[in-house]
Amino acid sequence: MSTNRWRVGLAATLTLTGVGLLFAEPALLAATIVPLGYVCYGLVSRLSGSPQLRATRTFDPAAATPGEQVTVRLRVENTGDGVLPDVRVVDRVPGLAVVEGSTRAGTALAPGEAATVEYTVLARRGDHEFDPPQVRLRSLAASTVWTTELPVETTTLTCRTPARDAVTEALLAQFGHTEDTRGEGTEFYATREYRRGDPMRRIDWRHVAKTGEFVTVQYRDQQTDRVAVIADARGPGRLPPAPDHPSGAALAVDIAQRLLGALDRAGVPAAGGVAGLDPGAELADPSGVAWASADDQPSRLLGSVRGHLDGQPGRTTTPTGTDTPEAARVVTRPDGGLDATARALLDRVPTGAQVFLCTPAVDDWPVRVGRALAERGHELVVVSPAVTGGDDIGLRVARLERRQRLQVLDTVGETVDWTPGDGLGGSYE
Amino acid sequence: MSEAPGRTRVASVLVAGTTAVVVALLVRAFPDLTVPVAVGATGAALGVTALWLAVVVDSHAGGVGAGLLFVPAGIGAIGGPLAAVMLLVEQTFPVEAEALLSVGLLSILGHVGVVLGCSVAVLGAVFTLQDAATGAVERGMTVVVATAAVPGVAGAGFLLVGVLTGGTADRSLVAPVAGPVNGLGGPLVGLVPNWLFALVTLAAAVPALTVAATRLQPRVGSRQVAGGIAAGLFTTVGAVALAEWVYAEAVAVALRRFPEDIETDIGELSTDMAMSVGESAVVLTALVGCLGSVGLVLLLLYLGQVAGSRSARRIGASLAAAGTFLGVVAAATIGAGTVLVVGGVAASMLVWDAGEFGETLAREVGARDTGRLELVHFGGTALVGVGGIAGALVVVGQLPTAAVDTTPVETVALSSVVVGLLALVLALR
Repeated sequence: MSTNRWRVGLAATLTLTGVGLLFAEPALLAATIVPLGYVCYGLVSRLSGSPQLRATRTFDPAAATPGEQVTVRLRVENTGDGVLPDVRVVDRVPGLAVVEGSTRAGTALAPGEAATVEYTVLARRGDHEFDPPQVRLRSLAASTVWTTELPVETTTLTCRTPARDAVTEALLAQFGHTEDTRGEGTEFYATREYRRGDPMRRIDWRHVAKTGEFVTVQYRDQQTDRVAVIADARGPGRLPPAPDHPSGAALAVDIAQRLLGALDRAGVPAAGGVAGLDPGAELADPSGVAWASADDQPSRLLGSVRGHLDGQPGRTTTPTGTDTPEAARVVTRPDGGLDATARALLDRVPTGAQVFLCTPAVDDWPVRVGRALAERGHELVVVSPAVTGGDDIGLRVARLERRQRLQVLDTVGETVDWTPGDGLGGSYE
Repeated sequence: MSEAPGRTRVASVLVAGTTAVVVALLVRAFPDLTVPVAVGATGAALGVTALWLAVVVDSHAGGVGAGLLFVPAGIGAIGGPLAAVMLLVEQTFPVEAEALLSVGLLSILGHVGVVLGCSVAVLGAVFTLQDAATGAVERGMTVVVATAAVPGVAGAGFLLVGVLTGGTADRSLVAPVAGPVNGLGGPLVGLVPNWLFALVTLAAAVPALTVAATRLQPRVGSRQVAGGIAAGLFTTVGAVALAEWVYAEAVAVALRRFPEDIETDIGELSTDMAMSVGESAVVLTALVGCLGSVGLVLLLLYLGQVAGSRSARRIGASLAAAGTFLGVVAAATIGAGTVLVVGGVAASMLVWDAGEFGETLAREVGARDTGRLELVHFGGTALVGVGGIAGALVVVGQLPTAAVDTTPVETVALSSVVVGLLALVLALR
């Protein structure tokens, strides 16, 4: 497409001619050669032949975990014979936050030369389809413009919760008690309908032989669940720090689900729970707590909650899970300021169990719950995902307050400051 | 919230640097115009700085600062060309023969054109360097109108008092107040230099005016309007306080510059005006005129934005190019060298190209890492310019001396060549 970019030269020529004639000034008439020269330059300046470009895109890592930073590299090569004096490339990112670098670049490319656009995105759970990058070429005088899309083989960035990962293995190696303590004293409790994924050893084979129906045996499992993994999915943690960033609640549920998977592989019975679900949600009780013992597939419960949180806009519910500001104002209570959600949670935790509390720690609720758990004799490990995004004054203050809460929790248990994609941070001394 | 850069760094430097070189060369070619160009250019720079204050420092203090700076900006806008006129009148008149009157007038016009061109060029270059944000021109117009309203109303009031009472407001309103004030401040004025006194007064006034603007805002609704009104108040008081001195100095300068024949007329006119309307009314009217010139410039910029669908950022480079072109063409009419004229025309084309290309580049790919692309593009533009200059100098060198004004046939022939080239270019398009 040709543009009228250099028509300003025509206006200059006419002006110089007019004034030159009016004042009888030869220099002005001769000077018309300059703007006319530019007009001719704009006319003859074309893109050489048909430009040929090839684009390749890579993701590093190729498959990411939620919250992990992924480096995207888009390489554009001039495979034609002519020089491309003006090449502008824009890579189109599908709803992921770009935390470093730029998705755009402009350069000149000689034949065989290539340019690379490199930037970093924050992975969110799911499959993310990248559109073909746009390229705009201009001639040397910028009077001819050509815009096109370049086909690229690599288009999808996959983000999944891993089946095994170093983070949870490291957590359990440092803090977990992985011996199987399900020994004598296990007592029959009840049977229920078999669900896909129930352990084979729990199936009542006698019932199967008699009736042909599969049922699962439940034991009195409250005392045998030696570990409980709790995810804090309350409203304050659901607000993402910036557009397209994963929320703290989503990351907390994700790390909790991964922990349960690791414990299951290690053969350690672990219960799982989520605090702060919306009242009336299918899996939650009236206080907003959902709970599953080791036999009830807590990992699946967290997976359901995780899917619900993905892409959900944050709700600014009050800490009690109600929408009543008055109910949220906890001034003084004999139980240490615990709301209904916290009390329901504490009632569910098996006696003597080690507790992994996964929370973004964006308010003081986990501090109160952590203290209460410690007072009840539970061994506490707090895993807190660092919610990144933005550097404005509000976020910096929020990060400072979060550090202070983790330091308080470190006095009643162990704390782990976890940056998704960066491994585990140290405990707070 | 800051906007993304509107132009690349290379383009901004090219626009500002090329403009500065051309303005310096024009001043070197016409040393008499040094002071008028300096006055006009300083006024332009202060005007752009005032715009920056009005937009970036989005507060009462910003409005006050902008309003105060618009006053010297207006004085520069009118003072530069006026100084050129005064200078040329002194040099040109009285003329020896009536036939030379038109030559003298054209000479004055040409010199004023150089001053105006340089002032507009500096305005555009500073506009480019400051990377004017969206809405700068509109906000500047608001502040100028608010600032000019106060001296406008005061001046109208003074004139009305003069008409109604038969005397002047200076006698009836100003003198009763001035006496005691002079009595209080007299010893101080004698102790310190005037410039220091003025500086201290200004420094003390700004915080006080900011407070006044804060009090005014609920009544007028906008921080900038309140700041402008406060600045207008201070300027009005200052103009009335200094009216007598300013009036006397202005009359003295006019008497020095104008021919002796009309000195008596000027003296009588100035005395009549002082007796009938008073110095304060005259000075206030002049102040409104200065601020009005700034408002007119901003209005033209606004209309230019709207008509050309251009952002404030693109206007800067266009102004710099137009000002450079105008200055060079005007210089050619008053005898500037051929190299300066032809080189200046090429420079104005380069400035325009740098501004337009840089703005488009920043908008499409951002302002980072574009050096290579810009080097290639501007290198091509510069080469074409050099070729055009060489061609024009060859053509001028081939012409016999005074070919244009004494040999009509050659004038027609040269003009025909230009028109023919134009027609060829249009046909090619």
